[in-house]
This record gives sequence, structure tokens and C-alpha cells, in this order.
Amino acid sequence: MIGMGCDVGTSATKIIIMKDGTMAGYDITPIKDRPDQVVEKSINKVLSKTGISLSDIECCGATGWGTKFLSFDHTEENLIKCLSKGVHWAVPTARTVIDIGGLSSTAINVNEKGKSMEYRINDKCASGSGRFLEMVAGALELKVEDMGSLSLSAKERVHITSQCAVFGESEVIAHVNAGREVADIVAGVTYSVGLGLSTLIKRLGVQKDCVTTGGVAKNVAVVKALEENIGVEVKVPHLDPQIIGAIGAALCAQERLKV
Amino acid sequence: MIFAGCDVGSLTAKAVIMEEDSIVSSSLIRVRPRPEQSAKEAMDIALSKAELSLEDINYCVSTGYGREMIPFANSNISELSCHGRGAHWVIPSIRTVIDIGGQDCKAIRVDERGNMLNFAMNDKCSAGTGRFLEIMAKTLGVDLDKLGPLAVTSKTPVDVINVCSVFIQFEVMCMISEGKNRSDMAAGIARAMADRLNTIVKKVGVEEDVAVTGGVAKNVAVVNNLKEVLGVEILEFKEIDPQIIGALGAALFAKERS
Repeated sequence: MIGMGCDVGTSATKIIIMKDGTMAGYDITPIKDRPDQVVEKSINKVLSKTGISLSDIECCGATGWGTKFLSFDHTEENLIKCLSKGVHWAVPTARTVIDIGGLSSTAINVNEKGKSMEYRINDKCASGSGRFLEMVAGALELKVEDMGSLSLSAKERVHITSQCAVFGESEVIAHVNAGREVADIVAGVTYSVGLGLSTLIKRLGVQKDCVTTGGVAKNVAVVKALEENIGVEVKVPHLDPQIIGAIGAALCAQERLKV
Repeated sequence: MIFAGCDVGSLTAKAVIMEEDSIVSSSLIRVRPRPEQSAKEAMDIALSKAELSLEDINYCVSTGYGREMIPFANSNISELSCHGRGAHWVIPSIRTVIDIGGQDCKAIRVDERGNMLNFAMNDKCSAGTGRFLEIMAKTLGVDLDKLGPLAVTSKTPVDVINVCSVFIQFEVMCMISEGKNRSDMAAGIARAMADRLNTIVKKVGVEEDVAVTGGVAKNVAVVNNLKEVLGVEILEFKEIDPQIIGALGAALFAKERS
């Protein structure tokens, strides 16, 4: 069985192909241009990487904000369900998943079968989102992917008081003007993101194992701050944490075929 | 006697100089890195317009976010009281003042003497503040002062579904890629701004007459939408810049305190 999973998020599109229950290949492309073109390019990249042609795909599940940009047959899959199934497939011991995406964050408790039991979502406010980290990276002329390791080299973390992403960005610029070290500022930013996410998880109630997914899960400093504030170890899937939703979408689509 | 008011906000600094009961001069500048620097520059401009020096001022009151750091001020008063007092002085029938600053928005209720009765404010979220409009103007690629005129030409405003500035920026970027009309987007943005302000005003309740102060008062589309969502008329200050009302209120308090 060959299945495709597409997770078209607000900041990146993630496409995966699964063959007989294993990962055949994947692609992650940031959405900077027209989303429909990005999605098409990303799909073609995975097809050429895996040597699979579009006609071989038996099912395709799609989730995320931008499923409307998919030009071929697919089933629409619920993001909560996708994340739950995806994380269960990647880390079977996971009971709480915290997905940190471009604009929204979602905390879900899942059972031993990978079924979502309860969830909390922040999809109204960009505080603590991946976008906030991108804004700060832009203001400080850094790469987003360098922010985690840079934070760990901080000597004296600054205290970021703003919750709003826009005000947070101004606060960062004020710290730069006041002569604070970039590493100390970035450490303050990543800490504030981790702290904000911890309140979302606490509203849900954390269970072990706690696993984090989404693009921001690659930021070691955010994960560390999250651990510190919820008091349990937070695991990151061995394969890319950003493709968990897409994996779940493929699994959901496959399940429909079996029924 | 000469009185002065100095209002150092998050984005702009304003100064007003009064001689007894009339305004002699005023100034408005973009803030400098430090509040004391902003205050001095704003005050120097107002003083030179009035052909006065700092020693001529009998009493000065500072207000705004940087009000505690102004060395030449004799005392400081919260911007809530100053906006209420300033607006009421210009239009004595005013009972509700909606002040929209660079990084906050406030709804202030005043009595028939211009004293503050009650207020509600948002300074935690950039939606409904001047910053929101700045971001939107940048996203649409227009100057901030063109956003209002662009919006009023629209006959079919877009629906903006989000509340957060960052989410709306994303929403607008998607609309741009779909080829939506810019004036329709500007109109949708003005509506979203008014809806957000409405949630703050509702907390204190609106009593007529109503006026809008701060930089956003100059955005005709936001003011028109605000009239519509609040269901009231909004009075204009005419020859007085709505952005200097806080500094004016501070100058009025200076007279009272001297």
C-alpha cells in the first residue's frame, strides 16, 4: 500500500509518502510564494526522491490550513486526529503531544491506541508561535534554526514581558538598543515561548510520555524551557518532528480504505 | 503664566504650551531611544515655536508611558486623566473618549467637568492599536496616512475573520495572493480595527458625546466604522490635532497644580 500525507501549514508544506507502513520519503518546503505552486513543487520533490509516480499513490490524506491548494484527489483529515495518529506511529509511548506550528499550537492527550482523548488549541493569538520566533529572527538577522543553540550559549537571559508577538518584537529591539547580548535576548525569547506553551499544556494536564512536534520542536531551547515549566521530560521524535501531522494524514487516509 | 504638558508615548512624543487659557504652540515627533530625549526634543520644538525658553514655564506636567523619566516636569499624571481632561476642554459636551495610541487603546468616561469616572484599556495585545494599522499598511504596501483614504473608496469590504495582528497579516497576505482589491482589504482592516475597539468601549459603556484621540483618529475609515459599530456620532476636534490631546490635558493639569 502506498499512501501520501500532506500537511499544508501556514508557514511550511509537509509532504510524505508511506509504503507498506514505513516512511518512503518526505519534503518540507517553507511557504514563501504562492501556496498552490509550493504544494505542487513539494509533491514533485517527494515523488522524484522516492521514485514513485503519482498514479501509484493509492490514497492521499490532507490536513492543515491550506488543503484547498491541493489540485488532486485527497481526503480531508482532521488535524487533531492526524497529530494523534502520527505521534503514536512515531513514538508509541506518547500520551501527550504538543504541536508547535507556524501560527497555532495544539496540546493533545492521546490513548495507547493513538486516539485523541482531549485537546487544547491556541489558534487565535500568535504569542509563542513559530511566527513569533521568525519575527525575532528577522529583527536580529538570525536564522530561525540557529536560535536554539544560540540560546544555550546565553550568560544572562533577558526577561521578555510582552505576551503579544508584535510587542515582543519591539521589546527585543529595545533590548538590542540597550546593548544586551544577542544570545541573552534570544534565550529570553525562546524561554518565553516555552513558558507560554507550558500554560496550554497545563490547562490540558500533561501525561507521560510527553512528545513535542511541529517546526518549533526543533528548537532545543524552547523544548528545554517547556520541560522546566511542566516538570516532565519532553521527547522529540527521532524522525523530523515537523512531518508528524503529514504522517498522520497518510495513516488516516489508509484507514478509510480498509473500512 | 505659562504652562506646559508633555506626553511621551510609545511611538510619538507631544508637547503643548499654554498661556493662561489658550494654546500657544504644540509639537509632535517620533520617539527617540530614550524617553527623556524624546521629551526634551518635543518640548524644545514647542518652545521655539512660541519663542520661549524652558525657564519661562511656570509648571509642567508629564504624561504617557515615559512620564516618570522627564527631568523638567514638575509632576506627572496618568494619560487616562490627561486625555479625558484635554478632550473635555476642547469639546465640553464630551463624555466618552476613545484614545488609540501606538501600543494601546483606552476608553475613558468623564463627567461634566472632565474628570475621569471610569476606563477600560488594552495594552497587552497589539490588535486595536496603532501598531496594528502600521503592520497592515506595510503589508498592503501603502503609507499609513493613505490607509484611511484607500479604505473609504471601497464598496465591497473584505471580511477579516481573525483578531490577532499576526494572524490578520497572514490573512491579508493570502488575500493579496488571491488578487483581492487593495481598497477592499483596507476597508476590511478598518472594520476589524473598529470591532476590536468596540470590545474595549463596551466595557465602560458609551455615553455621548464621543471623541477619538491619538494618531488613529486621523484614519477616516476607522472613525467611520467606529461610528457604525458603536451606533453614535463621533465629534471632531477641528483645528486641534487629536494626537496632542493628552499633552493638552497635561498642560491643563499644570495650570491647576501651579
